[in-house]
Amino acid sequence: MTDLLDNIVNWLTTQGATAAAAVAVLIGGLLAAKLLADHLPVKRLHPQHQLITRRVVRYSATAIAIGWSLNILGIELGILLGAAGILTVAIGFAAQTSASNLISGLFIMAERPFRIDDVIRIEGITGTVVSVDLLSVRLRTFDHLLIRIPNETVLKSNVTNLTYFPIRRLDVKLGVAYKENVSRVRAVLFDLAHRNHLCLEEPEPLIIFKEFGDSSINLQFSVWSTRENFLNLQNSIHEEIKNAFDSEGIEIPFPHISIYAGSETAPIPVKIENNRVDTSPTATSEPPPL
Amino acid sequence: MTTPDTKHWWGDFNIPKGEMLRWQIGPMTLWVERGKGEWRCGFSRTDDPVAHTLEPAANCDIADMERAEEILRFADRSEAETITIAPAPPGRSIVNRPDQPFFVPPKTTTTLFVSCPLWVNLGNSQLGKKILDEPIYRPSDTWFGPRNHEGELCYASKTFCRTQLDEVPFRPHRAVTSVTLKNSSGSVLALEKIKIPSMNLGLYVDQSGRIWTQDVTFERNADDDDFAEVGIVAGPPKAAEGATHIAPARSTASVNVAMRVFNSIFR
Repeated sequence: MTDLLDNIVNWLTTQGATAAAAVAVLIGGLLAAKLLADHLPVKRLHPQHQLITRRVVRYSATAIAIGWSLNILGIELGILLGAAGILTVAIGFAAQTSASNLISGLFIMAERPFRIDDVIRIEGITGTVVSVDLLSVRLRTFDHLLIRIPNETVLKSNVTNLTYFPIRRLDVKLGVAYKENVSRVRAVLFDLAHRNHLCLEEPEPLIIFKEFGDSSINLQFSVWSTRENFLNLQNSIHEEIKNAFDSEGIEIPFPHISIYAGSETAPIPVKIENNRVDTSPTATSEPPPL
Repeated sequence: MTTPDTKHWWGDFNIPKGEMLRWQIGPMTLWVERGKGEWRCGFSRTDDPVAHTLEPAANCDIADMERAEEILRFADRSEAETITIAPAPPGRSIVNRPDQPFFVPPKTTTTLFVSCPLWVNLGNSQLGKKILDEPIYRPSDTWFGPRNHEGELCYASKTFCRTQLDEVPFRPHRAVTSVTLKNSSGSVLALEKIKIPSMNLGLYVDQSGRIWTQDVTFERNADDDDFAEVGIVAGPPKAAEGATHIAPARSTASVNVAMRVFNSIFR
């Protein structure tokens, strides 16, 4: 015990200044890294870029401070880096998933298919991007849940960015009865788009004749809005279409089913009295064949 | 009580506690009540963009505000009984689409009169200058640019591209802009749309009570593009006699010297 204390005292006497210098460089370096990262003039950048720039600067400055400090103590960095390399390989084998997510995260950050505050859809999950980290992307869904999606999944999946462009198109699919005049329907829809101020004048609304459906003529009514007003337009335009069709007497048909009981049996009896359909068993003298 | 001015709907208005004034400014009806410890403000709008009725600061019954589509309340425990109502230019550029095709031959200069819808601001020294900033008529949004992902969000308006001032109707909720178009290129400019940087224009009123913006000039030099050199003429509009300044531009950012202002079909 006495020998150990003697050795420490001896080392401090001979190497004390060096050790103090190394500690000072380390502490100073860590402080400088934090200050530098916190006061970087990056306020004009997007929040995500701010985050990445600050992290890169802080980690780099910290690494430099540690390396410098070790160098003062006379420890060779080459040996340490070699050991770190071997360690990295070992960790890599042990944590393949994390490594995969880490590399995927770097690709996502480089590619930037979305940013913080963008609304994206991945594998059926839609939400606002809260953070893009090295291992995962965090989304806040509209029903206020936090969902963490591993970066590997993000990289492998189709990602839809709903807020990338400033304007969006809303496609309303609707059907009108065969008896309706399509030109009149077209005029009603264009007038409706013109009256709704959330609906952009340019690009112009579009009506596409899709098909002769089983029960209706199927049309697609496409209108544009700003991404901020998209949901409001989606809510308002459907209601306005219904109201406009009601007031113009345009029928929106729905599938009708004719029940046929077969050639060997009598038809199902239906009796109409004072515009009221009576399908009760007592409407006929014989019970309906079932 | 303030004596109604039949020409101007803006200015400082005195409303004693427990009383209310009503403005009819084209398509908008605006109510302002000075309550106890608060101001109440209500408004409603019609869909008629060319409504031109003007009834500024009329006395009305308190119950009249029940007709308002939206009512806002602002706390004010002071004794202030004055409220300021002011017009303001739109917050975005206005894209004017001519009612009929309009052509400007090469090496020709012409002057067009177009108009833009105005916003109404309400405030006072206690509450702040802009406690209310509402469009008198809400124009539709539109996109102006060569592609759907390249351009800027604007407001849409139709214009008759009138070349004579006496043909321009009086509308209390719109400001007239005198646009000088100089086609210095060697080709005809077939005007499909023209973008006016309305948010950069100050407002003036002439002797007749008509609201104007500063004059704008566009000079097109190249034959095959939609760009023009844009100039905003400092001071009152030349065509407005005895015009006085009533409201500043909403944006003081400088306008690009050369910017896309036309959507044209070249012939």
